Amino acid sequence: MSEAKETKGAAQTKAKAKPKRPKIPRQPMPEQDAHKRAKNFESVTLGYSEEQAVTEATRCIQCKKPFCIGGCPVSIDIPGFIQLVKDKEFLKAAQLVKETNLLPAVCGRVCPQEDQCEKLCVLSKKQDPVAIGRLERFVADYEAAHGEVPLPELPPKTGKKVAVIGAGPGGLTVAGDLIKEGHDVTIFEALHKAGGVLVYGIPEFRLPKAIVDREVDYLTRLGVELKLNYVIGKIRTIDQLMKEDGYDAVFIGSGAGLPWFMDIPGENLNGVFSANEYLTRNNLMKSFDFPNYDTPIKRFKNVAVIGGGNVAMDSVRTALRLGADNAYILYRRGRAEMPARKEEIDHAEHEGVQFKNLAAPVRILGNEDGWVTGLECLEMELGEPDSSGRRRPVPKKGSEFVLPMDAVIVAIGTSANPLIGQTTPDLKLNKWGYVEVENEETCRTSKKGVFAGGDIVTGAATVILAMGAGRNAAKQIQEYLETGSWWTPNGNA
Amino acid sequence: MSFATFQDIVKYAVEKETEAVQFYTEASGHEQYAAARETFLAFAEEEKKHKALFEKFDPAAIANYQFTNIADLKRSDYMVEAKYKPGMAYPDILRLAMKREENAKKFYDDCVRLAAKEEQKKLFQMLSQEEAKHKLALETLYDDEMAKSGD
Repeated sequence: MSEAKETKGAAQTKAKAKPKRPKIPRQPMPEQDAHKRAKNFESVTLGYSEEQAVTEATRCIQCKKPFCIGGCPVSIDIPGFIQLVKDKEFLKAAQLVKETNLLPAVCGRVCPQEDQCEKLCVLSKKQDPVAIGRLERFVADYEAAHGEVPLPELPPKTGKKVAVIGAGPGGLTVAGDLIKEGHDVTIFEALHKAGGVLVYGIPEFRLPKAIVDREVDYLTRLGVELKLNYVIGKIRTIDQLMKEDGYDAVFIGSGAGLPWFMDIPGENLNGVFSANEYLTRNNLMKSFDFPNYDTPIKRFKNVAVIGGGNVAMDSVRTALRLGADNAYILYRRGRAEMPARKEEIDHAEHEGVQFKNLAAPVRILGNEDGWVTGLECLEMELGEPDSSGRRRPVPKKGSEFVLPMDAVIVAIGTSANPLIGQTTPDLKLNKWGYVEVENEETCRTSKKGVFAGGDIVTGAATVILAMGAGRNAAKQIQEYLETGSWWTPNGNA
Repeated sequence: MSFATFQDIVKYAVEKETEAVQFYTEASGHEQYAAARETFLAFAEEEKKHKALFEKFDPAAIANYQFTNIADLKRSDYMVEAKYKPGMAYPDILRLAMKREENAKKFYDDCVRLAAKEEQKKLFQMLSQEEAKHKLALETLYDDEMAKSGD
């Protein structure tokens, strides 16, 4: 090759070569100091500053085929909103997110992004993924602080009525989507406050209730009717709603709030709580804020929480904040098997929670006044692999030990309250008591005009999955109201 | 009850399985919901299989029987005794069944210790192993579901 051609080629190569993108580390989330926050109910994480948000947004490489969207149960336009953050158009970013996600301030705080959108982020192959959840929270909080959230113009009324049972994330999503179609929507909520698990289950330090109040207020300003202290299955049944009260469709979003217990001796002693009760008394009834609220809870000094999920983490961290000297997690399996989010486990550990893995309670001990005094436990070890190759925990012989305790909180799972099933005879349930649906896309139950989604269908799961189900159900309800077409095993009705 | 002969023991075991079939079948009749009914009927079917198996036991069967170490998760062992109530939730139905298998296995294990003749010992071991298999199957079902929810 001639010298001239070599030089030209080299120059062309140099011109084509893009400058290497500087490696920007994932922006850390500012947090309250662990020891300080273990004594208060204020938010653990403090949110990104504008500068951090823009820097983090710069990390996004705006993939031509963004895998992250597929990881989001409500399909937020993730690259789209992140680009707007990078351009400092924070309000527009919030509005873009809200096109598909009614509750971004909630999801940005509680979604397990590490298992969803961030897991699929291309960056995660060689470095930390883009902090999509933190950016979602940033834009939602920015809008709340700076923007006037405009009410959309609603179409003319259709004359159709939809009943939504449960004001949790699934129900709120259905209501929000269908009110915008011009239907009359009524949410029936059993508790005295809307929000479901967002208000009774998740503590203030993870999800400030003012955020939930703001979102519920937005819906009522849109025209959604909210009936509180209204238990469907007691005050009215689903059949009455449809045959007498004129509702054309019903969405069941009543969740899975019935607690499971261990069935071991001593479980009926004073000082034994289900996690549901403990958290509800604290989160919804504000037991931590006595005497401003008249529903205090006894201050226990040694508290054991049985379980390894997010509810267990919330319970044990609440116990610390209520003044426990020792707060334990007792979990029969290893640390790697704990289904709680890693972030929550880490936060709990930093705050001083003591983890006892491969340990199971066998008896709760009490005094003659009927109060808990101790917890007898067994160490567990992994048994031989079963036919699937899985090694399950089995008790270690002779390994009994007793922990002094004055409260035990059982956080081993929940199931559906049987009330709706009991009062709706033609509603098919599965053996675990959950409502059967055709599939999670159509959300259609065995009863014409009745749809279901969220924990009442799947069992206890996440906020965002309930919202995704709500989104699907709303689309299906809209189609049903427009066409009257319904599924049967043999074809449409 | 007399366990003087091989046939006495087999007769007792078959009676217990017949009782278990009756128990689960009656329970299914009290249940309002199809799912609970079907669960109890499925348990009844399993006990029928046990009954059919035990009815075929004869001294020659002992020589051919595969004795293995059946894993014991002991999930039911620390639970309080369960009583049937119509309308029980599925986890409670599983606990009830697990407890019944645990008690049956314990009974046959006690019989192994007390048996005077080798042939009787081996027969009780066979029966215990069959109950252990049922217990493991139920406890595995229960453990899988509880693991998902954080237990």
